[in-house]
Amino acid sequence: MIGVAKFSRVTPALLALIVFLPAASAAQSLFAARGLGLVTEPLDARARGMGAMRLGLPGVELSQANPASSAGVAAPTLEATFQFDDFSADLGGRDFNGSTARFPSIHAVFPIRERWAISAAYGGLLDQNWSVQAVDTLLLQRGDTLIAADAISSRGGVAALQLGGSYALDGKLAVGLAANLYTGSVRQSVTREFVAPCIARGGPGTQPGCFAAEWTYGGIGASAGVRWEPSEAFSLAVAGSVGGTLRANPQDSVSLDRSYRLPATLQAGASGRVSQSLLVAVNGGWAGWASVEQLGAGTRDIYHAGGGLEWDGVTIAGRPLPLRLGARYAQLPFSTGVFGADSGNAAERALTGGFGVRLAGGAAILDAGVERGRRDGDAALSEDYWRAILSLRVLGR
Amino acid sequence: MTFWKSFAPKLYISCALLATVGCDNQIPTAAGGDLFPGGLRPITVEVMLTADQFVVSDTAFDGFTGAFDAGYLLVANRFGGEADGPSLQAHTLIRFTGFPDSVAFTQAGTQRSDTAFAYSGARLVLSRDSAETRIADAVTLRVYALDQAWEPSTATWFFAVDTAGARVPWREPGGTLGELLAETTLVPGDTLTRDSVVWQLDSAAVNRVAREDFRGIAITATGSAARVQLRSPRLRATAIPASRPDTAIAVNVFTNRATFVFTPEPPRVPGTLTVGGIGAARPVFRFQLPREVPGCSPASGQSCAAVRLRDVALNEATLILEPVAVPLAFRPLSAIGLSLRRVLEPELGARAPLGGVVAGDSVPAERFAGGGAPVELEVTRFVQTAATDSVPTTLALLAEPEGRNFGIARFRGQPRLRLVYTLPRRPTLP
Repeated sequence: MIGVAKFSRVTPALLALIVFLPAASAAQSLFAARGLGLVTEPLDARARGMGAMRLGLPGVELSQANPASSAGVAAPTLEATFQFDDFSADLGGRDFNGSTARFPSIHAVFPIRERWAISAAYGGLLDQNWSVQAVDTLLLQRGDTLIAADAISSRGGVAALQLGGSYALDGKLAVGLAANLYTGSVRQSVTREFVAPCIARGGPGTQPGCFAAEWTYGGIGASAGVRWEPSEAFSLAVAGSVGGTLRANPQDSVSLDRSYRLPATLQAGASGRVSQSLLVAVNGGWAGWASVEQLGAGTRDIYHAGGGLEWDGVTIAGRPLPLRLGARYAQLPFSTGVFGADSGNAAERALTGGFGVRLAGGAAILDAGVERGRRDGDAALSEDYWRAILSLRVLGR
Repeated sequence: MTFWKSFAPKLYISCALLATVGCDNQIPTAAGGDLFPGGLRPITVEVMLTADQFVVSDTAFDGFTGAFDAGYLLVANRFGGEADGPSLQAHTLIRFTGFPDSVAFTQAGTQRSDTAFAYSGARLVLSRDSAETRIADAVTLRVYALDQAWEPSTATWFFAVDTAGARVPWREPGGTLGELLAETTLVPGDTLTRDSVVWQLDSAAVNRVAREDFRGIAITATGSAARVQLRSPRLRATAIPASRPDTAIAVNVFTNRATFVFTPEPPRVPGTLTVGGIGAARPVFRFQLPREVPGCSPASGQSCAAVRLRDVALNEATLILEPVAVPLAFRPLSAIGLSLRRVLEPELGARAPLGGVVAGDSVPAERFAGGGAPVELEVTRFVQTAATDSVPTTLALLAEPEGRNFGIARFRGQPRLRLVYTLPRRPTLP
């Protein structure tokens, strides 16, 4: 309770940040134009650096995949993660580049008495940001030409606000439950703007055309998880979730509403300390995306796996500087997208790395990660990307 | 602990900044028309509506202005007749009033006035509007004394007074001419007189003009075909007081009692729209746009379902008027400013007040010489609003400023409306 009191002044502001900030999903790939978008993972920099370890790291971790991971937290903890992506895509021989900055996750945990903890987290789920542009020349009856710049764009996505609780049964076993409130919106627009040549008509008098539709998302899901640490050297975690129904409600009187059955997931992870300064971790999972019937046969269940090492044999000014190295593989669930030439299964592969720094005598932890990956497969679309992640975790005392 | 107390707020702020800085500001973009999702590539259609498709009714009004309030004066001699068209004749009529009863001068340092004086001579000066003047060859402008009473605000070529209660014809059409008072000759390219025409009046003439019972003067043209547009008549006289015969005093006399009379009236051509001229003619249309437009280009020859006009994105709407040749006698000699204005309370007919300008353009005079390019008035904003309105809108076509241009604009009676619009494209979720 003392820890909660110390956070009481900032808790409302933090909760406001969580609620009122825009959907955490933001543009990072042309694969966002497939199906319901690009599935994103709300991972912090430490998890990223170790091959996307969603769960299974030892001790207290802030994991949205496993509600039990926060059990036993000693002090109020807040973590925010910032991510920068730079990608270059190839679609049928044409190159496109882009870069974005976003935050995939913000997570807060509060201990209650000795064994209980409550948590609130906000993280991305589906990224639906993409755009297509083209230029055309129109010949009018009077002999003039108009240059038309066309664009179709989608802006938005789905994020999940997770409210959970965990309980440490004893020093080794912990359980957790969470409710996932899906939120977000997407605005799709088709525009045609006219660019008049200097010598022809059609300047200020030629108005652009724009057609837009917007939907807001809503839905409820649930997660549950277990963490078992039979010894200080070994940790095992299992978690699952049911997705519930994601509803898309139109904001106009013409567009149709939609509902999608979000997938169930099952994940497991484990880590072990093979030496005093070396930690090895692995995790994997499954998501039943084929249940999203509206997307047709182009949607499949997916598997993912990853793992890495964390070595804290390096110290600077007496403080440990853990170094991380990892690799991961994740299938993408959607095989068809809006781009006419893009269809086929795809997957992500990446090498990861990172490090962490303890600040303020351990009151804050700054983790940094980097990822070099590729998304490709049977599709005409492939992407190479660099990703940099920064997480700041602050502990209240 | 002290360190933590000071450090924690900074960390909290850092967290908030991290969260707010990480906002999306760019989306992945692919380029290529073939990458557009099927059926969502915008399609723009151009259609030409004929008058029967958007004009519910039309009428015309004129007589809003006349020669007396035109702001200019006209003198013409057989103008336009050499082109086998009507031959314009015009005389300017002026009555000078406001001659002084006395003249003032200084004698031995004292201001004095004398009611006994006589004019030794005068210069009659009118400004010439070169842009509205056409002289084929030398033309003589003569100033006559008028030999019949007349009313400046109602005089016409055939009537000296033309009011509802009284109509008095001229004994001589165009103004009953008396004594010749002065004359001057204009030649094409004459730069000596610049923008003024000047007549010298001798003593007898100016003393006659200054009498209270003097009926006024008429300015006529003889010689080659010509049309001369004048304004701002003034008399610069020299007065000699009886008490100081060695002193000449300048007296300037202005007047607003001036008009011009002309013949013939502009011919009415059935099936055409007449705009402007001395009577400020204005055609009036009642617009009602079609509820539906083609869902594909008519030029493609395809058959397709119509779409509602309010559902498309209207990119451009243009009212197209086809100029018709106007006889030289009544053709504009300089650009005409056309305006399309809303008519408020159209049930009031000619008295209906006018609203804001919907569209306008300056049209070169040569458009009305025959074979001129169409006049296009952009009415995009108006049509965008009217497309969602079920009530017809009434518009009037005017030449502005009204009555300031003797020339008339004439168009074919069936205007067209060109619409350029983009068909609706509604994105959907999978």
